[in-house]
Amino acid sequence: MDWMNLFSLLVWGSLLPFVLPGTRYKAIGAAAVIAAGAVMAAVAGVTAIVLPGSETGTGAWFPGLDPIGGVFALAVAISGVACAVYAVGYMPGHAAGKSHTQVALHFAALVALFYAMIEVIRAEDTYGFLFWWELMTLSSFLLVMFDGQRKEVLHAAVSYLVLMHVGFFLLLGGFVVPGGSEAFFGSTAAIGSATAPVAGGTAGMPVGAFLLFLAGFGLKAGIFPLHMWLPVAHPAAPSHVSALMSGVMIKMGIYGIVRAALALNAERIMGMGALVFALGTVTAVFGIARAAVQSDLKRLLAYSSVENIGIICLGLGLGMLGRGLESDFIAYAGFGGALLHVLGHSNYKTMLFLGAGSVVAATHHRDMNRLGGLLRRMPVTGILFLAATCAICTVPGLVGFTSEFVLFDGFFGSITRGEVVVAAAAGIVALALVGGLTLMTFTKAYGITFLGNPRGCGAREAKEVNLVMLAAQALPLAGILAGTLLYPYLVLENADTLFGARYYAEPVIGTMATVEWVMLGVAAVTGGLLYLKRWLNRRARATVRRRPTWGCAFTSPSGRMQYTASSYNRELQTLWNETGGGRQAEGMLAEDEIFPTAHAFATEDRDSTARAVTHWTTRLLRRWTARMALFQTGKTNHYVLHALVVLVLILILSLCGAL
Amino acid sequence: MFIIPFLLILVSAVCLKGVINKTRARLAGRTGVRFFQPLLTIGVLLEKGEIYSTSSTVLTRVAPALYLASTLGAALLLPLGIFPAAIEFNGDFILFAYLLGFGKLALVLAALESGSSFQGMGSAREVLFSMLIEPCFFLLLGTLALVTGYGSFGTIFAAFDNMQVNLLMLSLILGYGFLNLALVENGRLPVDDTRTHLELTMVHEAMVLDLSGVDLAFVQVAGWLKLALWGLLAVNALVPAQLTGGWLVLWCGVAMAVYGVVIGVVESFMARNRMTKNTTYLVTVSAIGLLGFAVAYVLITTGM
Repeated sequence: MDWMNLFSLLVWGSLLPFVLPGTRYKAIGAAAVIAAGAVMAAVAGVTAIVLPGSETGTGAWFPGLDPIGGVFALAVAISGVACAVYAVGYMPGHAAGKSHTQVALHFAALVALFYAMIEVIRAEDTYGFLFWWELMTLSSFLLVMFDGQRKEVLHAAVSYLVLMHVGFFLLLGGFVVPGGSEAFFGSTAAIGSATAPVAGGTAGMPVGAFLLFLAGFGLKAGIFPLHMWLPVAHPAAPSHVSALMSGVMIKMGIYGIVRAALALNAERIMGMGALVFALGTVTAVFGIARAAVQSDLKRLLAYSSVENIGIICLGLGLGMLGRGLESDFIAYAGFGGALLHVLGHSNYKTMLFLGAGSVVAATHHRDMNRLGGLLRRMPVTGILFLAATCAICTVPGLVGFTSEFVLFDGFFGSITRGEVVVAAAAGIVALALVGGLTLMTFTKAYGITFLGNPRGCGAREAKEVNLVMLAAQALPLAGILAGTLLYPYLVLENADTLFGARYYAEPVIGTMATVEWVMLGVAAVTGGLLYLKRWLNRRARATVRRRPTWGCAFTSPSGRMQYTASSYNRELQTLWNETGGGRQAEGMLAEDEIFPTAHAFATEDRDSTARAVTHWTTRLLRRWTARMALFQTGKTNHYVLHALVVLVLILILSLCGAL
Repeated sequence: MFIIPFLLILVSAVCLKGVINKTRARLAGRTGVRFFQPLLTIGVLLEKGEIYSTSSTVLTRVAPALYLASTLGAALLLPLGIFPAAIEFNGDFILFAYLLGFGKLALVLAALESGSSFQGMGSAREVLFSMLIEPCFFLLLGTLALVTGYGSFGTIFAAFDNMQVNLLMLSLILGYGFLNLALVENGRLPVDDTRTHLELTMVHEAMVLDLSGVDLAFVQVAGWLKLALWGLLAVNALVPAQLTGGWLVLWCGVAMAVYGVVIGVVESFMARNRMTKNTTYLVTVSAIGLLGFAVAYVLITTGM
């Protein structure tokens, strides 16, 4: 029995939760099955990158896994294990009151989602790809549906299902377009040979197929303006599910776009590259600007995922432009930065969502305006969340810095080389804005949730979550710390086999090593300064005291009087409102109400873009279905006629086929 | 050689506050405090013990030291004309920006730990302003990279030949852009008023309201360093090419003094912007960066 058969057998492990008793054992069973697959996928992924197989681009002992797939398999493996382990600690508390079957179905879907993602990466033909893609959608739908008794969860899950099937049909269209399927699955084979600068055989991917792929995969990835399902589905799903979906499942869309992009030939890749680049710019800035004004912790993280998908697309677009110009450097920095960001983001976003899950489990609130002061009540979760916050805020020396550095370096490199200067400047502005907004978003997310004083009794009585959940949250930390040097080694050293561009692997890794040294120096100086502080205090015989925060002469402040998430971003919100989107208040008191009656006051956050896209498409759909209603006359003789026409059509078509 | 820029930053960090104070005092017809009064104030702070909020954790204790350390790290990355920086590599200005960002992150989180509205307000404004200004820094660096064809602080400023007529104009735009960056990043007028006594109108000062003793001293020293850092960037953009040796050091000294005087003059004659107008102001500053880039792009593409 070779490895592949063993791996395929493990998919049937999704039936295991049905036979195991109790939520905890089901969870452990699912985690064990996922862990077994994850170890194999991670090893196979790294092997596929470092030791690419024959010229077909497939790994020697793990068929179907090419170097590009290896990168994604590694990301799936790390996040998959973390989420599965987290479920062991999380679900027994969360699944109280659910039936045996419901819980079993949940874990079966979790296992199926994990293996479906790996199999999507491994798929070598249209049928297999679409089969696993659909299984991925269905299993994630079941996972989102877990709390389906709540109305908003049901709504989120169903709209997710509908949108993913729209995406499915777009992909189907992409594969059906002549040449689309061959180019899609042949793209990496040509890179392995590395003879032609632009791969995908002679014909390459047709533009129509690429656009269909871009729309279909973009719907999964959450590219603007197709991001509408992310901020709805992620808050609705249990936290380990949103971590898995946001950390890696949306990256499957990126995986598809990468493959499709690599299959384009030289004439077409420039225009498409510019399109992907522009989409990436808009997605990144839009996503983070929306994230900055959220007060729901998980929705904030979901919008932040939209932003990160935008950054990845920015890199992909740059890489495509570089391929079109046959500039090894630009292709290298673009694709390299994008793939590094895939790996890095999968790590810290998983960690952030799991941390948010712990916060929700401990406080029963996702609304940051009711949280606060959790660092003192949940120190381990707080510190882990802080590490991930630092990583996403691109603190040098952590994995988030590496990918953004490579992208920035690519932009500045294109400027110094005098190529795609305007696009590079746009990219620089977008990345800089996104960097600033990320700092704003995540100081808010961390500061309001974990620091200060509790704003409600949920936060006041919060207790640290159990050890299993903490261990699961800590798992991606390895990637965040080690990835700074390890991921560039994997992606950039092997850029040749990954996307056929070899340029300056050594400098980036060397630079990252320098950055690590600088950060070690900063840490050492910090230590020295702290020591100095202690010495000074001792010398002056000064006492360090603890007192309440100075309240500007106000003597009885309460937790509710602190700055909230909404006030933190008020000025940004004002900018949003001027542009039409944003938060709308309902139930305001009218000015002429002298004796006000009872009022329920609520603010609603509106994503007007997502709304506009949804409304526009449904209206279009309605109009067309109304026209189709022409055939629905309600008269039997007409229906018999329809059947006759179809029969005649079949006859004529088959005659044509026979001839 | 490579330690000279760092030493110059340290020296000007100590002196700049004095220059600004003296300028302001003279323009107001006062004698003003002693030149090295800020140093003496720090000395007093070092003698005091800290008071920590009951809502704070170890984060507040570490953040000021981290802020100072990361600013020192950023100072090591800056060159002066042809004098190279202590640490130099391709793309070092990215590390420069993110090191300062890291310090800001630490300070903002420490401020939010106090659980007071004032600190929250200060942090919110600080991150909003630095977000709006961030594109300007990278665009100005992009302009320099476009003109010189290099990708690190040292090589860019060593190669930037602003003695040509075309590039002199660009040099002035860049100098003005960096000066504005310096004003915003250091919380000077017209964006933020360091001397305000009203918490509601504070930006940076509101963030550090709850720090005391040695911690406050660290933050203030880091503030001086940042003032000198951003000043040195503006000086670098304006330093005449081919200047070297003792003349370069002298030129830098004079330019830094002028920088201090300019800040003093601005603070004497301008009022702080209304908070709501600040966003517009900052976007305008970023537009200067874009202007610089556009000018450079036109110069390059038309072959001038």
